[in-house]
Amino acid sequence: MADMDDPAPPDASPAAVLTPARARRGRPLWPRALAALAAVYLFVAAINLMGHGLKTVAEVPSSEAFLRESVFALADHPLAGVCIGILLTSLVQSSSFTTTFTVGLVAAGELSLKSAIPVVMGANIGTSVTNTLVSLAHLRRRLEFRRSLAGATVHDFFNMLTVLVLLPLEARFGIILRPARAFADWLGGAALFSTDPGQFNLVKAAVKPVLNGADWLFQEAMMLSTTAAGGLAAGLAVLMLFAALYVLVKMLQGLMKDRLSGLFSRSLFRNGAIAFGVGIVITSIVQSSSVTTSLVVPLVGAGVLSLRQVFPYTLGANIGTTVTAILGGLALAAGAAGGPDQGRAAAGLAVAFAHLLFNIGGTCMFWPLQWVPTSLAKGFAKMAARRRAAAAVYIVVLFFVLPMVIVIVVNR
Amino acid sequence: MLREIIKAFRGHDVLAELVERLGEMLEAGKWMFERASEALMRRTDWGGLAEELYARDRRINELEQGVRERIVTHLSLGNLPDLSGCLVLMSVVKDAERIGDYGKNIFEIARFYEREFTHPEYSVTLEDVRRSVLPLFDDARAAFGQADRELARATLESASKVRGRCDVVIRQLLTVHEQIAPDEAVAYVLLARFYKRVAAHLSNIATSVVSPVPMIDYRGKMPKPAE
Repeated sequence: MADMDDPAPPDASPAAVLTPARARRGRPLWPRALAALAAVYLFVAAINLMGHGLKTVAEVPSSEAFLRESVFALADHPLAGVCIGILLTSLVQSSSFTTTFTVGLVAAGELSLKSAIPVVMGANIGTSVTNTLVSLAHLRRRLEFRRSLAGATVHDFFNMLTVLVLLPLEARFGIILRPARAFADWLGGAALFSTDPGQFNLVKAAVKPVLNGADWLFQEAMMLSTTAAGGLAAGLAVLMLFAALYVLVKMLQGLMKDRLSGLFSRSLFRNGAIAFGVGIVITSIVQSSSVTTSLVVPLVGAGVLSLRQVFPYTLGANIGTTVTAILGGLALAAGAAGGPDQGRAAAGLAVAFAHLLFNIGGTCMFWPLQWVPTSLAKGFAKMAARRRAAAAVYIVVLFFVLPMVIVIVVNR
Repeated sequence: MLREIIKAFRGHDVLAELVERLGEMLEAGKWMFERASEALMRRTDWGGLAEELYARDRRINELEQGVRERIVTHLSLGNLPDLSGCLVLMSVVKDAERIGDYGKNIFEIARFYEREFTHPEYSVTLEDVRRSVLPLFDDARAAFGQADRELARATLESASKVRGRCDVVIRQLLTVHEQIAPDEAVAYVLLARFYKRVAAHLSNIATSVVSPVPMIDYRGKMPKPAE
């Protein structure tokens, strides 16, 4: 019999947290929204600073030549480009970072559009390392692990199959480059932004303090050489970009938190179109496909969602994540509007659209043929559930060792 | 499609929604218990009851499965502060589901026991026990829904009395050597047992209001950790 005379401490029982009277009081949303807006500003500033830094380096011909011929030339071969995209994205666990970084490099003239497109293809593959890592949490329960690994690797297999088909076609015929460039030229030109150099440019004005601040810090305060100042500015921009994306994703994920449970329900995933729409919408808001695709892995592992249900969601997430690079490209195009860099900024924007077209192309090909990636994922998961070291080997080899080896061999 | 996504985007308190579902389960369980035991006392025709009763039982099962699914989803999406609340819900919906099953069991006695009850010392006692169990449904539901410790303790007290009375009936049937037809004796024993189990499950729900998670379904203090 419960000890009725011994009062339990207030709110000791878990049922207490379930009552309306004692329900968790909602934290105000405005701090998160404000932080997200600040992160957006940091994002726009970072991408413009990167271009500014690289432009500063380019003022010294020998430095420019070194960067272009030794560093960024590594990505000239399409296969190496894909592998660099995989490596970089696997390391930072963010395809948004890799694609936005690539947009910045192209807009700065350091990387050609032709070389950039395989990098963003590789970024798509690299981003699925996160959800594969998440599936390892289920390692101890064989059946759960098998399901969750299949749920994670279906993303990998879809991306790899799409690259297998589209990379040769892109290399030979430019089937992604041409439409991406055409659309970017139109959008980054007169369609959205004024080409009148005399007109007030909000983006340019907003990021000017950051660019001027970096110039002052590295060139005047620290009295560094042009190359060093430009390089450090670009390096600082990369860190800012990383920080901006990290904060943005965290804040937006926090804003979405109360809504996620409702979105990940079997009823909403009951048909592919709805699941696809959920994938696009959530990922566009949260700005990270690594986050949104790894959210479903435990649900597949627990048997709440099936592989067939999450596949269209994954396709949607792939498309939703292209928003970040497009925003970065638009920010650059806006900043360069009416100026001498407008053409290169449009090329940067074209990279973002290439990312979008790549994912749309993959969706059109493999959604009707979903049995191909899902069968591969199921087969691999079945094998890895029996030999669990296979999953770790798969991650290390596919996302790190193989890409490194290929980059070295191709560039020898 | 867009309307559904927008609706999901509005956001809502998941735990509050699950508490409501538990309430639905208890409501259905109470209906089943009441109707089944009335059919047994021949106050209603059991033939017309079967379809509705089994439909309610299926609804209880669906609700339990739905609650489990929402809990797994909710926790998988990183809502770890809700962990203990979710563990409690997993436990209490099991109790609510079992109550539905006992409602079916009582109904099955009504179906298969075809005579009148002829021993009022048992039938009247059990009718009284039945009347004592009925208010426990609303009390347990209210105690849980509002985290009302006083009401939870009162529910535990009442349920304990019900269990005691059921034990007396069973003990009497086992020890007193009077002439009762086997089928009637079996009906009394089963009824006493089922009423006791229903009271116990309602009591379990009440314990979740007054006890920490490891002690749900149990009474007494947490055992001291080994030195």
